[in-house]
Amino acid sequence: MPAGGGPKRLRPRPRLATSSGVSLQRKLDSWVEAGLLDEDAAARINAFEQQDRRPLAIWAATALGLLAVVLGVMLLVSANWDRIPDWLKLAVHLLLLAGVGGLFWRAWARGQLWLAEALLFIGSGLVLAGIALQAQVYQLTGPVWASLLLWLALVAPALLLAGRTRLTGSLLAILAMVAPAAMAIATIDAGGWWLLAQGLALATPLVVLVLATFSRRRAFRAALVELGVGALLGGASIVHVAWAFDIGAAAATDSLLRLLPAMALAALCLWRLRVRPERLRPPLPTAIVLGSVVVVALALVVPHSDDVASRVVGALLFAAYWGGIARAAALTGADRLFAIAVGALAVRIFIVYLELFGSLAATGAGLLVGGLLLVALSWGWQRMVRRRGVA
Amino acid sequence: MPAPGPIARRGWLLLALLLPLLVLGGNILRHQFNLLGAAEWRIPVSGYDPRDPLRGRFVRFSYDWTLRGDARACLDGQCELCLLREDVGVVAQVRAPGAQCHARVDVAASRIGVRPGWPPQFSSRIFISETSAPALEAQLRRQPMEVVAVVDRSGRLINRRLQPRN
Repeated sequence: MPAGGGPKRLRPRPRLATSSGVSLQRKLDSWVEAGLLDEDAAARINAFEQQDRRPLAIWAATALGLLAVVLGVMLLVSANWDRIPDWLKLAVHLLLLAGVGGLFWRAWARGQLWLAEALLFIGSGLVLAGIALQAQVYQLTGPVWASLLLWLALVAPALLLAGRTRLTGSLLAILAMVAPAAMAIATIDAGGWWLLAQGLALATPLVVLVLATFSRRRAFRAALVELGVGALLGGASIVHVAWAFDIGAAAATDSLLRLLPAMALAALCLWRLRVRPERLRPPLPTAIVLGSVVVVALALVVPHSDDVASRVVGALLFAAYWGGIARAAALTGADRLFAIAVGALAVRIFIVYLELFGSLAATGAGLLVGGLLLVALSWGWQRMVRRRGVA
Repeated sequence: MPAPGPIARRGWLLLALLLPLLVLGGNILRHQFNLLGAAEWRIPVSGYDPRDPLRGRFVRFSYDWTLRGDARACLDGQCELCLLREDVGVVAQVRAPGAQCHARVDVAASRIGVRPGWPPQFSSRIFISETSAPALEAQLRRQPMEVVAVVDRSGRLINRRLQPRN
């Protein structure tokens, strides 16, 4: 309570720059005016929040700006391609790359975090531009995935060693997942050793999670974890569509071979997350990592045809997968993940309306099970929020 | 495993920063070495496809050379050609294994597409800039054209530029 009672005139306080900061400021002002908080406490809360604030809007704008610069340079070079001699283009590119590398080295040594991060990002873009430039000069036409994999191989070491924020963490995670995935999609009809390569490619979210457990930089690690987990959850949910297709014995055997690297990596990932849980406290790693691998394996390795039974099994597995994730999220207090799980189940139930499992009875059963699960989760959610409020 | 110290970390980072420079620079040296002493070939072109929108501003065309030999092996892109200058113009002789050849063209390595027919059509493409695309397109429609290309040591036929045929 403010001393002296009654509304008190507020001292002007330094305003927060971000929109969420302004929103917090308004709330603090209203709480002080309502007598719920004294002014000193409000100032302390304000200072504390400012310390831990993540300037997401600034990062997003910086990333967009840097991307525009890289793309702009690439387009300018392309537009005047045949007016510039080949040797000049190649030489200027190498000089630019060396210059950006040198500037990065200086900024990194001086501890200029954002300058170093921006230069690392631009340097990574320049490496891709260089690969494209050489492909054009020497007519190295080939699959896009080969260039993306080369890009990954050339920039990943520097990003891993020097990346410190979400900007470079996100670049590494996206590149590490997209380049191998492009290869897997392009070579999906190839057999033999390609199957293992495809399996390794599809398991790259697990590699990203393992890499995160070795990183000691908080924001960089957080980007790897978030994007790795996001890819696992999204991938396992999309693969669930396979229950609506015919999977023959030959295709199932191919999928089993593809999944061998994924299983080995899942074991490594679970062990690493046990050693360094990061933000995935037990039982979240089991639900996310093991759950995803099991769901993908069942959808692709068990031969089935496109019939009502397969679709019902698929829908139930989807519900079990997201139900398990919701439970693990509730146990560990991962509210956002819990909300995503409930949302995923709600979307799946909505799809049941459109899907019609062949007969009214089957559709009715699907809706019943899904609806009950959703009601149970909503009830659990409410309990969780209430318990948190009491605590 | 103990974490690397600051000096070791600096060393690794320096290596990581040098890696793209070394690989991209090494690639340039390798390609330039392969191009040393490569002779220039002026090959007539026909049947161009003006744009490949997914891959930028490329002109796709067919080499209008005189083909000799059994070209059936070329249909899966696994043959080699030997370029010759004769009175009739540029001749592409399907190369028999072990045959002597001064301008050997590896069809697969050159990314030359082979369209079935008699004779089979050997197609390729060349990148053109946005600024020169309209003029070149008009030329391709109006007059006979040729591609200036070189054959490097590894057997890759590299298209350099398109120009009006003399």
